[in-house]
Amino acid sequence: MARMKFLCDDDRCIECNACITACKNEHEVPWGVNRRRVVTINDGQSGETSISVACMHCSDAPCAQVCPVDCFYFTDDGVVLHDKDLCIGCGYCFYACPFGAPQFPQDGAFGNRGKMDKCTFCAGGPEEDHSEAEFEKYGRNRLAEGKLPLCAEMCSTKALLAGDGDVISNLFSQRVTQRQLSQEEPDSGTAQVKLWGWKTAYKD
Amino acid sequence: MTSGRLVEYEGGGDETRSNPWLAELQQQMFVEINPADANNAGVKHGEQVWVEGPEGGKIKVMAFVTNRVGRGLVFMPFHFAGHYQGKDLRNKYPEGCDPYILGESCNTVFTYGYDSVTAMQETKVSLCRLQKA
Repeated sequence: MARMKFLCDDDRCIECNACITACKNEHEVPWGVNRRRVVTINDGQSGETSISVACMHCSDAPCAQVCPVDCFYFTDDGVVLHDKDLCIGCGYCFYACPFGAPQFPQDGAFGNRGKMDKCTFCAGGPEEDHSEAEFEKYGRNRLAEGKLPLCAEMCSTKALLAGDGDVISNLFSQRVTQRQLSQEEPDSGTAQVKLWGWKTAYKD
Repeated sequence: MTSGRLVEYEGGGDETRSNPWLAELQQQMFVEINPADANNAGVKHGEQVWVEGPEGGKIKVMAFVTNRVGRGLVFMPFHFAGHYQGKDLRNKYPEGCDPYILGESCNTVFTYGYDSVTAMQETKVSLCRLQKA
């Protein structure tokens, strides 16, 4: 059985935020809840890098380990999902998650946390596939339609890959070999420069 | 001083600032300032700053201190409108027509110059003064 994974190629990500917008539009995620986000480091400096992050659907998910009501479950495809009917909004998963994936809507007059919301790998939730209740709580179930997550399908530079972990990691290593083999830097002799990227564009 | 685009918005931005998915990603009109210039003007990242143009127009925007711009240059996006010289004009929009995000229009501080062939206004090069708000 395939294990579904995301992989973001930071040499290709151009911080266009299309993945975020695609996700929000597809699942009608409210303002303030971000299932996916783009993180940029060294902004405006040499070596600027962007990467798109959402739930990484860990094989050994820390969120599932700390959840006091055990609302997480794994699908046959290795997607980490949760049951919003069980979730009590305690926020433990948010502290456990190394990627900051769990999101909480502000709920009520005292700003209490609502039920946790996170990336579902476009695989819906425990409700019946394509049901109204499923869409309401978790968004569209594209996996059940035989489609991959929309963020990755929409990615303009194909930096964000989603799918069977074996397939996308093969694709990624193939890319890495190809882009390293490009040209040699004229003044430093042996050091190889990538086909594109900061060094190629700005030479520093 | 120069102006340009953000990836989230289009043109004057009234349409795209009315789209919640896009508006959430850019919630503030800002001016990109080099750290050296920000230091000279005494402004920190995230603070409000007055940008004053040569013709006397001035706008109050958030300071975005970054190395994206060189020393002596500031950059502003032109997608914002709805604030005028520090005043919020949201109540002037017809009911239900106000975008989620309003901000100062950078054209308030640009100058009168234009291209004589196309009559296109000059919005890419001008002078400005920064002052902590």
